[in-house]
Amino acid sequence: MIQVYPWSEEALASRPSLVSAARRVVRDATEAEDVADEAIARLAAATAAGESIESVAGWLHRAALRISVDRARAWVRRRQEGWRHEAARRPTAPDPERVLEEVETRERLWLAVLELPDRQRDAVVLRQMDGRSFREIADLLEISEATARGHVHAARATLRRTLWDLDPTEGRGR
Amino acid sequence: MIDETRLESLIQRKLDGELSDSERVELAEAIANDPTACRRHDEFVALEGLLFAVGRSDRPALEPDLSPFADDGAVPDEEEFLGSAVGLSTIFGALALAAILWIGSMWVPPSPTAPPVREIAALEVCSLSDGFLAVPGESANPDIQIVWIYSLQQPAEGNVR
Repeated sequence: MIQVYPWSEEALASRPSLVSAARRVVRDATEAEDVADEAIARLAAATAAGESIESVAGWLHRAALRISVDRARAWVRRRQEGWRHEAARRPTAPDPERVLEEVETRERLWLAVLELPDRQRDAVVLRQMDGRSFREIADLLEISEATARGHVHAARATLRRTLWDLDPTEGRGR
Repeated sequence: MIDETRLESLIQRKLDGELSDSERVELAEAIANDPTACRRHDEFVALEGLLFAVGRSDRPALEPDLSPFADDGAVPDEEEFLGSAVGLSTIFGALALAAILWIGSMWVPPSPTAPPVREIAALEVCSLSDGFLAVPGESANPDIQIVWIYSLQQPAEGNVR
């Protein structure tokens, strides 16, 4: 027997968008699908438990981003030791030193995104990695547009310092 | 020199596509006159590209590569490998193996030695006793006389007329 929830249609309509956002964080197409399904399953559990949901799409996106980050962090813990080896095993590239640097930079940035405060991370993932407008981010995160912009700016500043400043807490300089 | 907070604000607004004309001029002047501002601008622009790339790249493989060259972390250059002693030995070994296999496929085993032809003629069929027939034959050797003895199959009783 198939249970049809009042939110089923909106949840299914949101699924491609959930997969897209999750894909940016977990960086794996199959796992992104799993994340979307898990988010929908959690929504079912939440409504069954009597939780009041104002925006189904917003609830699902926030849940999907949380699940994605948890999965990405777990994956990073398993993989951390392998990155340097992975970068070194690309000898056919024209400049191995440059490849090594690029791979390390990309992976360091991924880690830094995962470590951002929740709202900043969600905002920067939706804005920079998934191409959403500030208006869309505001709707999904249920915050104002100005707050969404502020989260994205703060996240960018933190990420820039993480990548290029010797001391991320320092203002200017290397 | 432009204030750092102001500089970052201008760069971020530029990335969001929200700069006014006057702000655009202000940022352009700062980038042109201040190397630090220029570098900061380039870092934010690079960050944009990296974030986009991270979201679209697959994460690195989790399992280690178990290929034969994984131990030393490098795949040998093709020319270097072919010129080495190991490479030459491998090539000659492969050629020798191919030659053996080719020769083997061309070899046809001789047919087993044919027995001497014997011309056996049934000259006379003799009944030795009930159920047995003796058929004399001839062999290629005149000193040898061959007699074929056949056993007749007994019919079932019900079929005897």
